[in-house]
Formats: sequence, C-alpha cells, structure tokens
Amino acid sequence: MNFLQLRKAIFIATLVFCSFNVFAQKTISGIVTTDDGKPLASVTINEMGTKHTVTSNVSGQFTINVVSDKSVLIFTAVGFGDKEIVVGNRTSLSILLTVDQKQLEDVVIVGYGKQKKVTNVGSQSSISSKELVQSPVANISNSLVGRMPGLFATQGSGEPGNDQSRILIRGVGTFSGNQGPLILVDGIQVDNYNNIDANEIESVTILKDASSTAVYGIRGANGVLIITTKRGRSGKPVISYTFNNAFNSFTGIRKQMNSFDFATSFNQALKNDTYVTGGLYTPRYSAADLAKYQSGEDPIFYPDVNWFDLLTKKTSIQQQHNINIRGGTDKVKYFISAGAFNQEGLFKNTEIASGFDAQVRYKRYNFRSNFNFDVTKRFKVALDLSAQVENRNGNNANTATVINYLFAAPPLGAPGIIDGKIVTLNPSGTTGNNAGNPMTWLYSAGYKTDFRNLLNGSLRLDHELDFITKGLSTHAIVAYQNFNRQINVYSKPLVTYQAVLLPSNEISYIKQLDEQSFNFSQQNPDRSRRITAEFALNYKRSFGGHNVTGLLLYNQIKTFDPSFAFGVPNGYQSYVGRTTYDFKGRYLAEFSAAYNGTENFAPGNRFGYFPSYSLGWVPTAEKFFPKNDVLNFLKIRASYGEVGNDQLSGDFLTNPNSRFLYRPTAFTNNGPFNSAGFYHWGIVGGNYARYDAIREGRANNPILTWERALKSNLGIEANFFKSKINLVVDIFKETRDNILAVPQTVSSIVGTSLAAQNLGKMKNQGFEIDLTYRNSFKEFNYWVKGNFSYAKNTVLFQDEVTRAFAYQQRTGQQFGQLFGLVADGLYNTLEEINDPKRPVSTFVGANKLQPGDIRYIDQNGDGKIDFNDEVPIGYATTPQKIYGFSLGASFKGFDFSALFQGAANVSIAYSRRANQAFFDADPAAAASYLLESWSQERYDAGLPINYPRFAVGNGANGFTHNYVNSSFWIKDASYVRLKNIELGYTFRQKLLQKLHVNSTRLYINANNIYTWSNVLPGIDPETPNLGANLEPYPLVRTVNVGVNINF
Amino acid sequence: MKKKFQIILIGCLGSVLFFSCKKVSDFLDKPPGVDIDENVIFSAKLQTELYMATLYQFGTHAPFPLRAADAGFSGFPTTGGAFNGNMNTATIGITDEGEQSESFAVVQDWNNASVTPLNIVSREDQRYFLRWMAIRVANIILERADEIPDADQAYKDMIKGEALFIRALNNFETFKRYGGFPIVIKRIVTFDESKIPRSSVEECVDAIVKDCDDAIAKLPQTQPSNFTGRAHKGAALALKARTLLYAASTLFNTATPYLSAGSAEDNKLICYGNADNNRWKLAADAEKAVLDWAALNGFALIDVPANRIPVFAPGGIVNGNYRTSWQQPDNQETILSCKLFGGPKSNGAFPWQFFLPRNNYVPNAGGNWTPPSPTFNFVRKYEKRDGTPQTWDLVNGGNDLLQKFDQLDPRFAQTICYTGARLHVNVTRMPIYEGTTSNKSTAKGGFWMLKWIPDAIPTAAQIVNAPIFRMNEVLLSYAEALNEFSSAPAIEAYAAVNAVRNRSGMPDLPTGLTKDEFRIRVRNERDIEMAFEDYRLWDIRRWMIAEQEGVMQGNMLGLEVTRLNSTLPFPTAFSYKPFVFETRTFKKNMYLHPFDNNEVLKGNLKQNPGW
Repeated sequence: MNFLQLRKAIFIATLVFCSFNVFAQKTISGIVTTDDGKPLASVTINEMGTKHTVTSNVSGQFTINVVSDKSVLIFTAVGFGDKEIVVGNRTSLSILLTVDQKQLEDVVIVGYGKQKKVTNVGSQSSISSKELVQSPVANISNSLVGRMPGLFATQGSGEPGNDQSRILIRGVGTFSGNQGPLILVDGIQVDNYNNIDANEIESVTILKDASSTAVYGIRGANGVLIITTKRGRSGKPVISYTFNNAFNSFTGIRKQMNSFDFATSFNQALKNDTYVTGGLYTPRYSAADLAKYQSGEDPIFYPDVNWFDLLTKKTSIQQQHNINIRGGTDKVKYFISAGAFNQEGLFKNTEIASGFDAQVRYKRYNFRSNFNFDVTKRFKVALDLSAQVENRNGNNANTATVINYLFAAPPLGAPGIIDGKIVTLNPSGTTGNNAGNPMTWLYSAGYKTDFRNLLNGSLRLDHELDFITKGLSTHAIVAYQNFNRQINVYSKPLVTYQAVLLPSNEISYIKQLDEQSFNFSQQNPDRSRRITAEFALNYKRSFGGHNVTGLLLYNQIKTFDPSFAFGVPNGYQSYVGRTTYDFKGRYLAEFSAAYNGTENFAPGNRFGYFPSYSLGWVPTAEKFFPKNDVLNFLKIRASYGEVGNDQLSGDFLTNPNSRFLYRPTAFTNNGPFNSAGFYHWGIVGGNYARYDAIREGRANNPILTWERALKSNLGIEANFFKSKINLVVDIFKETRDNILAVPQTVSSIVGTSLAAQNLGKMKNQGFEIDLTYRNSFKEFNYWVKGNFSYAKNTVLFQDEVTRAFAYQQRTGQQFGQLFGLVADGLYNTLEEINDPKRPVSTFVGANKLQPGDIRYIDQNGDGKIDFNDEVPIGYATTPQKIYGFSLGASFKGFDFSALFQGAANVSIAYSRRANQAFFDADPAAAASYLLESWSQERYDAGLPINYPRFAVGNGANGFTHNYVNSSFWIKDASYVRLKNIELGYTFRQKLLQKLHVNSTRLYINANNIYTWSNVLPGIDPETPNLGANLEPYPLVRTVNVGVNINF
Repeated sequence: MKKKFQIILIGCLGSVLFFSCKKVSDFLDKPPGVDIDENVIFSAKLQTELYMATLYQFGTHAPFPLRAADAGFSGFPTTGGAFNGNMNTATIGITDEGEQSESFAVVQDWNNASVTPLNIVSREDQRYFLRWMAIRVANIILERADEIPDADQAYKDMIKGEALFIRALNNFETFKRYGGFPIVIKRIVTFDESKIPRSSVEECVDAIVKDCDDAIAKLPQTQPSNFTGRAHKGAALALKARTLLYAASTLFNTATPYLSAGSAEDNKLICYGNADNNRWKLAADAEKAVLDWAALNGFALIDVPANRIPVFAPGGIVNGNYRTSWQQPDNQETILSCKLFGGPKSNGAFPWQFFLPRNNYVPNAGGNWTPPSPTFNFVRKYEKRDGTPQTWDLVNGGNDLLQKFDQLDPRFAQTICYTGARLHVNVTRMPIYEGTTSNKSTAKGGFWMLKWIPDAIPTAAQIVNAPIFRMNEVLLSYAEALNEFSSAPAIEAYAAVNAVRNRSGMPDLPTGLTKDEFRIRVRNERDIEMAFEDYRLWDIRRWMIAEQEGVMQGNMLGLEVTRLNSTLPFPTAFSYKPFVFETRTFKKNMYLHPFDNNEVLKGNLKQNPGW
C-alpha cells in the first residue's frame, strides 16, 4: 500500500467515524477587529457543536461554512474575551473582541499541557504577568507571596541577587530531603527560576493536588511551580518598552547602643559576672572614660561611631529596562525580549581602600526569543532560546558575615574614617575581628566578582496525526540548559592608620602598612548542563457531548555537573499517561499516572507507579439547575492520588551519602565527609609524606524504594452574581509514607553511616480559600481579592529515640517545631534566688543565679532546670497560615492596586546578635533596646525591664542560663505587611498616535512598604536566624517609578 | 511524498530521545568503576594501604584542638550522622593549668559545672563518634587482612597489630573518659548487634590489655623511618602501660566509686569494685617493659649535658633539652606521635591559633582566638633551681617578680611566656602588665603559653608536633607505679624521676622521702614535665584530687603585674600581686564524663551517676 492509499483509507475511516456529523450548508465571511479597530489574526472561530473551525488571517478575515441560520459561532483568541454570535440571516460579520484580563482563567496550565478551566478537576492557582510586574523586585519568587492560595513564601534576605524567597506549596510535607516544589519553565525542569525577567512571563501556576501533580510522579510530592513565558501572536508587531527606576532602602535596622550606654552597660556586665566567677570586679571603663564618652569631646580616642550609618546608605538605586517585540503571521509567530537589570547594595564607603570594589551589586541581562513556525498545516515547530547573564559583585566575606560585623562592632572601638583613612586604635588593625574598626576586617577579605551564565534552548516539534485518527497528535521536545560560573577574588593587605597621641598632645596617624598590590585568585568554577528529552502522543476529541483527551508521554532528564557525587551525571525517566473525560461540561473525570525511575533505588525498586483519580461535577450546567443570578457557576471536584519522592537530603546529588543509596557501600576518598581523607607518615624534615585515605560511605539498602505521598483534595469553585464574585475553596489532606530517613535509634557504636530506610510517616492537612470580587460602576472598575491558606503538618513516625519525658518527643509535633524552656519572668530579689524551693539551674556553675536571671518553669518537677524541661514553644519558623488581601480600581486612565500580605502561626528564634549584648569576650556591640536589661538600679527605680541582666561572653559566667532556647527568645513572628502598592496612569491614545505610540503607561509602585508585627524593633519577622556570626542582610523597601510604552 | 516525509519525521521525533544514551535500561544505572567496594581494598596491598591511612586518621588522638578541615574531615560526626564543627577544646583550660576565656572554646562550662549529657560532645569529646568509626575500620582490617593476595605474613601481622593497637587506643580513650564501655570486637551488622551494653571496668581493662598484648606479638620492634607515625611494639607497650596505670589509680581501683551508680553490679561499670594494690605492680611492670624496649631500640630522653640549663639572654630564645623535646617532631624520645594535622600550618591555623595570644592582646603575636592563659596556681608548682619550693607572697605580692622568675626550674622559661620573655621571633619581649592589652582582664593568669609554639611560626608555617607517647611520661609513670606498689620509694623510682629532672638541670630528689612525700614530688614532676600535653585533667581525675582547693574547685589565681620603671627597650622591674580571677566549681559526677544524652536514649548505655 502506498501512502496515497493509506491516506485514502484513513480518510474513509475518518468519514465513517464522523458520519453522524452533518455537512455544512452555508458560508459566512467576516472580519475580526479589536475594540480599537485593529484587525485581529489567529482568532479561532468554531461553530458550536460541530467540528467546523477556522482561524482569522493577518487582516482579521475569515470564511466559515455553517449548518444553518441557527448556528452559533464562537470566537476565541488568546488574550481576548470569547464572543458568541448567532449567525441569523447574515453572510458577512464584523466582530469586535475586547481584551480580557481574565483570559488566563479560561485555560489552565496543567502538567504537560493546558486544560479548559471549567472542566479541569485539579487544584491549581496562577497569576499573570500583570501582577508579576507590579512588584519591583529582581526575583520572581518575591512577587508571588500573598497572591496565590496554597503558596507559602518566606523571604530571608534583601541582598541584591540573593533575596529570593523560599517557596513551599501547601507547607511542609516531609521531614527529609528537599521540601520545595518542582520548578518547570515552559515544561522543562530547572533549578533556578528567579533570574527570569518578569516581563518575559505570561503566567506562573502552582499545581497543588495529586490530580495535577501525579503526572510528575517524581518530586511532584512537594507540588509543582510552572512558569510559562510569552509567545508570539498573529498580527502586527507590537513593541513594548518598559523602564523602571527604583530606590531601595532597608525596611528596618536595629539601633545600637551609643558609646556611653555601651561602656556603662559593659561595666555592669563585668560586675554581674564577678558574682558568678567570684573574681574581682574591675570596670573596663573608668569614670573618666565614661565622662568622655558621654561628652563626645574626644571623637578620636573616645569615639562614638554608628557603624551602620558609616557603612550603609539610606537608599540605593535599582534600574530595569526591557524591550520586547511580539507579533507574527499565520506561519511564524515570535516573541523576542531583551532586558537589563541592575541593583546596587546599600553599602557605602566600600571604595575607601583604593581599588576596592566591595559594593554588593547585581547586574543581569536577559534575552529570550520564542518562535513558533507552522511548517505545514500539521507540522509545527517551536524554538525557544533564552539566556540569563549575571554579573555579581560583593565582599569576599559573604554578606551575612559583613552585616554580622556591622552589628558586632562596638561604637567605641575605633574612630572610623578620618580624612579618607581607616583609623584604628589598636596597634594592629587587621585582627581582633569583633573589636575595633570593622572595616579592617571586612576589607581585608577582599572583594569578588561572580559571573554566571545560563543558557537555555528548547526545540519542540508538534505533528498532528489526524490521518491516523482524528484528534491524535504527537510532540517531541529536546531541551538543553547550560550553566557556567566563574568567581574571581581580589584582595590585598589593607592599609590602616593607628591614632596615637603624641606627647605634644597632637594626634598622629601612623600608617600600619605600606601599599601593596592586589592578589588575584579564582575559585573553582561551577558548570553544569542538563538535557531533557520528551516524546508524547496526545489525543483530543469530542463525540457529541463526550469530550475525551488522552496523553502518553515519555520524559528523560540527564544532568551533568562535576560537583555531583562520584562525578556521575544524574538521570530520571518517566512514563506518563493521562486521560480526561467530560460529558457536556457536567460530569468530569480524570485519570493520570506516572511511572517514574530514579537512580537512587535498585533496578527492582527503581520504578514507581503513581496514579491519581479525580471526579468533578458542575451542577450549574445541569438542566435541572435553575438559572439564577446569584449562583451562575458551581463546580465540585475531588481528587485522590499518589506522588513520590526519591531524595534523602536536599544535597542528595552532591553528597556521596545520599546518592545511589542501593549500591554496595562505596569506599571513597571522601567517604561520609565532604573533604578528602589523608594521613601523614615519615619523619618531619625528612621523608614526611601524605598518604590518601579511603573511607566507608553510607551503608546500602537494596530494598529502598519510593517515598509516597497520598494526597486527597476536595474543591469547590463557584461564581456568583454574573461572575462578579469568584470563590474557590480547597480542602486537602496528605499522608506521606515511606519517608526516606536514617534511623535514629541505632547506637553509634556501629561506627558507620547507617543506611537510609523507608521509615518515616507524616501528614499534612489544611485548606485554602480564594475569593475575588470584581465590579464596575460606569468607567470605574474595581476589585477586591483575598486568599487564605492553612497547612499544618504532623510528624507521625521518624524512629525517634525515646526521650526522658513524653513532652520532649518530636514525633507528633509539626516539622521544625521549636522547643525551649518556658520563662516565667526574671528573678528580682535575692530572696527569690535564695528560696530553697527555687529549682537548681544546671546552666550555671554551683547554681549561682542572681537577680536579673531568667526564672524558668521546672516542667518535670525534679527540682532542676535542664534540657529535660524543654517543651514545644510556639510554632515552627515556617508559617502555618499565610494570607493575602488585595484591592484595586481603575478609572479612566488611572489604575490603582494594593496588596496586604501576612502570616500567622509562625515563630522566630532571635539570633544572638539580636538578644545578647557582649556575647563575644571582646567588646561586641549591643542593640539599644537591651538597655532595658535588668539592673538593680532599674529595678529600684521601677523602670521597665524587658531583658535579663548583662553578662560578658557567650556561654561563660552563667550566661548560658539566660540564653538557652526559651520562650523569652522564641517569639510570635506573625505579621501583616503592606506588601505592594501601585498607582498608574495610561495616556489616551489620541495624544500619542502622531508619535506612533499606541499606549503609554506611567506608574509608581512600591514593595515592602510597612510591616506590623510584634518582633523586636529593627528585625524583620521573615528573616531567619542564620546561626553564629551570620546576620541576614535586612529586607529592603523598594519605591519604583516606571514607564511602559507600546509602539 | 509529503506523507513519506511526515512518517520519517515522526520516526525522527521518536528516536531523538535516545541519542544521548546507548540503552534505555542503562539510563539510570551508575556506571561501573567510579568507586571501590570493600573487596577491592583487600585485593592488593596498595589498596589496603589506603585503608591503613583511614585507620590512623580516624584512630589517633591529638592532644590539641583540631579543625576538622585541617585533618580531612568536613566536620566531626555526631548522633544521627550530622556533622559538627571543630574540636575547640584544649583541656588546659579545664584544669588548674590555664584559663581559656574564648567564648567558643566552651571549656568554661567545666569550670562552672555546666557540662551536661547534652553538651558533652562539644565540651570535650568531639571524637566520641569518630572513635567508633575507627574501631569499625580496625575490626574490618582484622577480619580481612589474611585475604590480601600479594601480602606476606609479616605485612599481614603488622597491619593486624596496628588495627589491634588503634582499637585498644580508642577503647582506652573511651575508658579514661567514661569508665566501662561497650566492647566491640567485630563489625556490627545487624540492629540487634548494636545493642551491646557497657562492660565492667575490669572487663574493659582486660580487653584493652589483651588487644595490646596481641598487638605486641604481631608488631615489628620499630617502624622504618618512612613509616614513622605507625604503631610498633613500643607504642603498644606504652599504651598497655598507660592503661594499667589508669586502672591502678584511685578512681577505678576502689571498692566504692566516687558516686554510687545504684547497685554493686552497676558500680562495676565505673570502678573495679575492690581495691588491689597488685594493680600497681602490673602497671610498674608494664612501664618497665616499655623502658626495656626503648633501651634496645634507641629511644631515650633528649639529654645533651650542655643544654640542660639553657642560655638566658634578654629577648633571646630559651633553647634547652626540654624545649627541643617538644619543639622538634619525631625526636628520639617520641615513641609515637599523632600526624593528623598533616602539612605545615601557619599561625592562623589549628592548633597554633589556640596557643598564640590574639594580636590585640599582644601586638604581632599572630593569634586570632584567645589562647589559654597559664594560671598562677600552676606557675607556683615550679621549684627553684635548687629543688626547693619558690616562696611567693600570696597576700601582698612583691616587687621582685623578675628575680623570682629567674630562680625557677629552667623548664619554666621553656613552658611559660612570662613578662619580658620571648614568645617567638616577632615578639621578643612579652608585654604582660597593667596598662597594656595583656593585663589581668585578658591574660588572666598573668602568663601566656610558650610550649608548643615554634619560634618561627609567625614567619613560616610549621608542621605540628603532637606526641602521643613520650619517654618522659613512661619514666614518670614508672616511678609513680613503683612508689604506689612499694611501702617506700624504690631506687628505680628515684632514678626514673631524677633522669627527667637532671636533663633539665634540676637536682635529684632528696633521698629518704616517705611514700607519701615521694608521691607528692612525682605528681608535681609530672605536672611540670607534661604541662599542656593533655595529661593534667585525666591525672586529676584518676588521683581524685579535683576537689582540692585550686585544682578544679575553688579560687583560681592570676597575677596582676605592674611595671616599676619605663626603661627602654623594656622595663626592668615589675611588681606582682596575686588575685582571684575565678572561683571554679567541681561536682562529684565530673569524675567521669556523661555519655551523650541521645546515645543514652537509644537504650544500650547506662548513664554514669550524677548526670
């Protein structure tokens, strides 16, 4: 049989198959225009209930055959509202389509494709480009919070280029491995999405329930975040240029004590300490010193420096340009975008040492070209190329260290900068990292430049197979990602000057070091590449009212990265199937399944099968449902499914203990450590030599298999009052079983890293509500939106050791639950201290408490305060509740919107820089609010006392007692933030048409405007406790002025 | 034609997937040959040698603070396989030897009795988990050494002997901290096997001694020079002797422990349950065996008569036999040393930065962190050069500080960096006195350390000399054990102590001392000779003297030093005034470490009493 015959056979078969279709009888032609009179291409025109479908050409013209005068034509175009027209006796039509902001809601992004919103049974949320670009931020993750129900975002830092939020979908579902979602850009898995220019993005969607995530079997367990970029549209090219100019400033800086307060408090601390040590109280600062600090008469030898003011600016600049062109013909459609982004950090005087450039700076260049070619009627090609080029700059000591030292530097340690010189009081300016002039330490580390390039290419081929059977098509994708990074470090010994008082009473600045040349070094470059390949068969067809779709797909991913454990690339394989069914949009059903393979398990356990089932019902589409104005749409949907996870730890690829868990134990030079093992033998000065060691890795577990998440979801979508009010409610429950974890109850005498097992169990449940109200009054359009998400998890089993008291068990609590002692105020008098009934503190030698120490509750009544008295306090540092509330309006050319966002059921554990004064043995600065620490004088005077007594040194002199984890320092971190506000004006087109400008919009928007919370002043409730000697770069407030011009 | 094109195209689409891998079924497999398994290790001597390096890396104990990264660890293992930070603890600051005030050096928790089962790992025993890893390596080598096809019997015996030695050494380190421990003599495979409980002190000592005896039988007399640092007969003999010395000491060799563990049976986890003076005989014989081995194999005290009393010149280096004994690695009195620190370390690296004063305490000293400041309690132990005690006015002090220093045992100037003394090449006159940054609030004891600091350290990185067994310890232990066993000090005991004293220019001990008098002198000798070598804490505990005033309890004295003139380049007269810088607390339960709380919760370890 030759191909012509085959074609005939298929044609005949198709005819038979479709024989119930009635043949067309009437021809209609017409033109589709936008409401401003421009022809609109690529509009799909379908005769309702038939297969008659055409598209409009570049001039907006179309011709279609219809059955009769009663036929209804449906006009649909991406970005425009649908229109339905009864043909009547007309043969020529002129159709006006209006731009529809809700267009995204008509189709929803699902795994490996799109579905009609009305018939979709999964739970997902999305936001559009318009909302994304409202936030003047570098990182997309920071534009999402508060706008999507089910998305939990926490931003830990405001550092340029490093200020992305941690995203969790429906909270935390597992206690091991990676808890974050799978990220896809245009269907391709990526590791970093934050560097994509928001102007390139059409929408961001999160997939939440099993129905929508099961097709990703692998790592779908933590939810999926899908970014879809803009594509070309038929029509004249539209050029859009956007310029943003913003000013960043810190949202809050905690105030530090001035020199006098500092010196007085330090003396007080020394005095307090002698009570514990029994030593002699020797004030560090004499009365004469204190007087000089108070008067400020000698700013050189008795300085009072606010290091934050000296080294940070009030505002820094952030600029963004983007130009993109969007257009196409019926054969080729294109979207091309180029962007540049520049954000300056808030440091100043970074250039004080000649040649240094330690300012934190983030520059980014984005390029994207998305092409669609209709090669033949059936064969389509899409080629996407994009690049993100980043040039970063900053102090070689990481920024959290820099900020830490700014907070650590005492105000009286050094006079700072005098006549452009870095002046110290110590003879040797470059050490004593906490004392003296922090600049000496900071600039001695040098600065670094960090260049990163990310290149993405994706080729997608689509082919219709309607000559085999109608509705069948196939596609294949090959995508390539390449990442390169190079870090250069420049440093040289810092030239400082020591201030010395000469006998003549003149001040001399003695140069401590001669100028030297820069050292240059390169850190190990980073590089990786990833190749994704996908092949699929798609089927979509309607039989009368029965709409059926099907998908069979194969996907494989291989990532190459020299830092991977064993130097082996990482691979994943997936086979995916999905079928959906709906009957006249009333009864909906979907079944999907993934069959996934991972390298982490032995061949027999390697593949996991992850099915999901969902059902939906749309009562409002039923004939019996009374047509009414109150409830015009209602959908009830339910899903149940299983999703998997194969990762033991977040660093499962680079950590040799977490890769290839099934393989016989590997002996490597690193073994269970991250560095190479060795020993030396021989005589020093003679044959002393290094010998490499080989060390046993993690024990293997050949029967290890997939961690499974059983997810169920019940959702309701309802539209009221002609869709003026939209309501979506989802209730979900997830049980995670077989969680990959290492047993905790096996004694360490085994002497090796124990094998991981499928042992953990955890549940996570909650709900989301999303409510939108839109209305208009003449030209005044307004909307109000609110969303609320709640997710609470519980660790059900993790092989925890049996602790001495039941209330100490972590099992049964939420993941990351904070534990601590319960503080009951402070001891105020010696009578309280000497009360024989007072529990003994095991945190201070000889039970030597004193007034001003914290009084703890002895939970177990054993007369001792020790770690056995720790109980759950507050919540975890990830919130259980997160919500957003936004409102907006437009009137004539003006538009306005505001977003409030908040979190609750969340706790913060203060960093030691925030709650401890002088914790370094050397003078280390203290926050000014700590002046309200306990002292006899304050107590006697009845002044407010909010903190325990001062002490010097971390852990020393009974200091531990006051700073173990306790309810004194673990606080409620709930907050409400005015996250975003925007005011814009769009100029009327008539004024601009002479300039060939279609529209111009001027706007001002701002981010992180104001926060209401109960945490200590100058601390952001979202910023984490990074641990010893690290303090986050505070969040920034951004005020932005921008213009968008369309040609 | 067009259709043909389409079909071909679809075929291409399908095949496009597979171009990157040869076989779909291989896609997820780990390629062979990227790592080796246990069988490979024992397939050839060359491979086994890699594992021997592991045995030593895991299994040798340095007496110094250790940065993980300096020793090929990214961190030290803790419960649950997590990794912790550095070993910041020098036991110097736990005892009357010194005061380490660096906040993160955490030893202060001992001084105010705030050590708990929750923090014990970071407070002293960061190697706890590493020791079990070392024992596992040793057990695997013992199980499989015979399989190495290209090894002769001598090699197999040697590595088995080394494995036995490392197992014994790690068990001893556990024993001296905790008392009885779980005896693990084969690799643990199943969960049930991991439930081994603690054995009695007697069983544990016997197990260590047995491993030592087996090792002695298998190990070569000495190692060739390129294997310096690997165990030989002498190392195993010295370990056996030290074990028996500890076992014979009051802490363990008793019918009633320092605190009752509950029952007589449980008491045996922390002591013998009876006192037997013959245990001292075993210890003395074992020490004697080391001395005999040393005599045959060329190990002896460094004793160049001309260097017994070094030359003292202002600002000059004090270079005598004693300094050579601790500064020169692999010298003739080192039986075995720990070579975990690897290559040369600059002054910013461990352990130097824990010994060198901070630059802002002593300009140009080169240290980053606070070192221990030796206490006046310790310095008072130095005799005068005629062998009589130095007299210090503890109440009023005096104006003759430098004169007092000049009268002391020559080892004082080779151990302590005092006011006006040379620290190293960049600090030739140590400015410790009020009005400088090394005053009584920083150098609390009134001194900085000199021992262990190579003179050239600020200008050139130095390889760390970290001895584990030395001849001077063997001699002093021998003297101690003999004296304790006998009713009056034996002549050999005198000879051993006098050898140590004489090589540093100190006169013989007076003859005719009683047993008790001799005990005091030999203990004092040990404190001086072995200062800052991680002996004192364990000696205090085995002698059970922690509660004596100024040892681990009571007032710790420092010196307030004031200059009496402004002569250049350095003042020539100073006054001293003792003052109490700290009052320390010792609780009885601190005679043994508490086991890590989380390990106790796993069920197989009974916690020591009082924790």
